[in-house]
Amino acid sequence: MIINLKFFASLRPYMPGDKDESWVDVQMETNVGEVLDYLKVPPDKPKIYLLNGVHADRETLLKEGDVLSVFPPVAGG
Amino acid sequence: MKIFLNEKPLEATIGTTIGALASEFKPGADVLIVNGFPAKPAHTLIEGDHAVLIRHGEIPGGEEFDALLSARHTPGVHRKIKHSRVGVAGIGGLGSHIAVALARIGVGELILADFDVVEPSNLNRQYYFTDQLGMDKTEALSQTLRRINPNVTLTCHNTRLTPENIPVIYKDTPVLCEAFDVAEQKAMLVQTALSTLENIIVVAASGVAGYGTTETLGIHRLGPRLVVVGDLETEARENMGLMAPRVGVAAHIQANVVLRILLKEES
Repeated sequence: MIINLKFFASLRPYMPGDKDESWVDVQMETNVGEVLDYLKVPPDKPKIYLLNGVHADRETLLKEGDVLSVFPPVAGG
Repeated sequence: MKIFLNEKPLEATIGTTIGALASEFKPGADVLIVNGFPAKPAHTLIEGDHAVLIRHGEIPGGEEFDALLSARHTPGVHRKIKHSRVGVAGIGGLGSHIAVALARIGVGELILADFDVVEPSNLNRQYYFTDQLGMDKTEALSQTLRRINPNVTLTCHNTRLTPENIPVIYKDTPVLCEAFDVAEQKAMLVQTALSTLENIIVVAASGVAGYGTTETLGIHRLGPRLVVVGDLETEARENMGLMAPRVGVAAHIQANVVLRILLKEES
């Protein structure tokens, strides 16, 4: 199944291609954490996960056409 | 003729002076202002003039303060802001300025949380003063906010926010500002708020350090309930400190996003 990826800031280099968004083909029953591991996204970066604009976590299962956004906030305030 | 006294409409006799108005409505007023300029007691008012009478050191009452804000913002806008509640998580460089901006526009209730005390290193960007060093930030900021707007209801939590207490502290809060410093804490707050507080909208910040151009401080809508302000990349670290101008701009962008949400200009 195809899912849409949107990685922000320092996570962008881990997204396939060189654009603002990308698509990957993953197997059914794949979760958010497995996709990120497959793309070699470092697990130690603090992250906010959104699936179709709604909160998700690493265990959330993906389905065809989902949009996975991952955002790593940086220090400062 | 119709004039405005402290922003409230008033029918006055033609030829009335500002001094006569002061004798009738605010005896002892020592600052007389007509249409934004200081005036002498003998100044004659004309139709449509805005007169303001001030006694040095006197704090405006709730009704008078309401009238001032209503005149500035229009009654419909003021009513919406006054009946709103906003959470601010962390009251350092971002949060203290957000809270001040929201108190100035008349937000009805602010829910503030921070476990920190005011330190000398905070004074380069945070809304605290030298005579507040050592005070709990919640107490210090409460003092300041009450001086700005005595009508605002303040609910302060002098505690560290955690996944356990965030759903309790910000229950029934429609808009929450993420104003932390540490990246892990920012992620924790956003993840916890979005997963446990139904319908809450989080206005977060990321990438506000340094003195790079403020033109890169954007508003990023990552979902229907998450807005992130900042350049997303400029992290606070050695040789890239947090400084008043850029942090202050980001905080006021956050406050303006909140205002637009309260006024239903965006969701």
